[in-house]
This record gives sequence, structure tokens and C-alpha cells, in this order.
Amino acid sequence: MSYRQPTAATGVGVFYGYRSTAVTISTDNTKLPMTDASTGNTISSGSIDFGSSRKFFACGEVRADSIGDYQLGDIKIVANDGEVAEGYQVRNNATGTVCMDDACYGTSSQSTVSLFTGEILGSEAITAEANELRVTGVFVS
Amino acid sequence: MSFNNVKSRHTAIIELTNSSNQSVSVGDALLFDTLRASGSHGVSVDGSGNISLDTSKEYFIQASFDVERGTTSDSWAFDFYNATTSTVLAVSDGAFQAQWDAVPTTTKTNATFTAAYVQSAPISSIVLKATTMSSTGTVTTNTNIVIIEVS
Repeated sequence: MSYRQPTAATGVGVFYGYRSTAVTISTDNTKLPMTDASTGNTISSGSIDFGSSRKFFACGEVRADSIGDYQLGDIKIVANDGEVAEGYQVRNNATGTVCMDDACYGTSSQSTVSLFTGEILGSEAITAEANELRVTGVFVS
Repeated sequence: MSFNNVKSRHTAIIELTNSSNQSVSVGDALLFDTLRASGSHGVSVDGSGNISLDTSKEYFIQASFDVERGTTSDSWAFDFYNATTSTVLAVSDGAFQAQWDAVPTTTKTNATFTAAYVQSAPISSIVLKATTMSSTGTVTTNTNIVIIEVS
């Protein structure tokens, strides 16, 4: 006899999602939609969809080229309830005084995870193009 | 009778580092001579930088880099390769590149400073190689690979 068997994958494991084509970045607080997810997960409205709530650690990375003189600002991880996981990716101005970059890292307990722009630095009238977009992570449960 | 079945899975954290700086040109494999781990695991690394994985386990692998470029105008990139076939792993394989682009004064780019290989069905051996290195640079001892292995 069995009772309350899990209907979705649970437990520890790994996952990733990414975008296979470039996307334009032009406004603050805008989702950077992903297109592909690891086996067992799906993409829903640009987010990785786990199918059920999971506890996870996630790392987001964005690589972008400027179109004109543009500075990419914060990037943040957002789960499906609007919670913002901690961590930011900040601009890399390789030619100026600011030369700093980090991936964004966070933990949450939700069924989806996505990347959003944060506060964009520089003119919003000028766009950048993200040519690599990814979230990698580990499920805790 | 069973209730709310969740199977416990052994998880280990492994760190790979190199005890000396490495001079690196494009195509070179990064070398790691020191392995530290939190417990039993199925990872090993040889003298050529080939990292053996246990194909029955899941892996979250992230490499971070500290590079002293040959000149200030140099760019660099590192990718995970299939060590058996010497082919670069793609994003569809769960492998992601680290890339720094040196840019002209009017252009500002955002780099990826970590390379990752995340896979629930891993291949048996991977190696991290420099796919872009404008001139010979130095990968310092601050470079490392952190591996989370789930049994």
C-alpha cells in the first residue's frame, strides 16, 4: 500500500535554462525571457517552470553587447511570486574606471524562476543585446 | 505502507584548484592539481586537466577565473569540452561559456565570468579550455572549479 506518492520530481537535483537567440534589453524591470530548459522542466512565459514548488539555489548570468554607448545595469532573479532573490549582475565597463561584474545568486522556494533587468544604467533610449542568458541551479527539495 | 516518499541522496561538494599560475594560450587546457571534497565522490582530475565524472550522478559545475591578460586589449573565453572527443560542449548540453571582451572606448559590454556545466546525465570526462586568448595570458591560482555532485 502506498499513500501520498509524490506526483512530481522532488529531492535534490540540478537544472538550467537559457536563451538560444539574442534579446534586446531596453527598459528597467523587464523579464529577459529564456527559451530552453533542462530535461524535466519547461519554459513558461520566458521563465523556467519546475511544475511544482521547489526549494532551490540559482545562479543567473547575462552577457550583453552594447548597441551604441550603453551600460547594462543590475540583473536580478525573480521567482513566480514576485520575490526577488538576492544578487545582482552589474555593468562591466572594460574601458573606464568601473570594471566589475558578478553573476546573480539567490535562493527561493517557488515553481518558477526567471531573470529580470533591474535598474538600467545609462540612457534607456539606447538598447543592449543579450547574447547569452542563463540560469543554472540546484534543487534542495 | 509508504508515506510521502522522498529518497535521500548523498551530495558532495568538490573544489579543484591549481597550486601555481599557468601560462595559457588559445586551445590550452586548464590544469588543476588540488582536489578538496566534503565527502565521498566520483570526481577525479588528471595531469592534462581532464575531469572524470560519474555518469550515474548529477553535476552542478561552475568555474571562476582570474586572468592576467598579456596586453590590456586582449579578450578571453573559456569553454567546457568533451575530453573524449575534444568537441566543445554547447548550451544544449548544459554547458555555458565564460567570456570577457576587450572593447573600444565607446562600447561597453557585460561579460560572463563563470563557465558552467550542469547536467543530470553527464558525460564521463570534461576539460576546460581557453577558446579565446588574444595573446598568451596567465590563469592565476585564484581560478577554481566548484562541483556539486548529487548521487
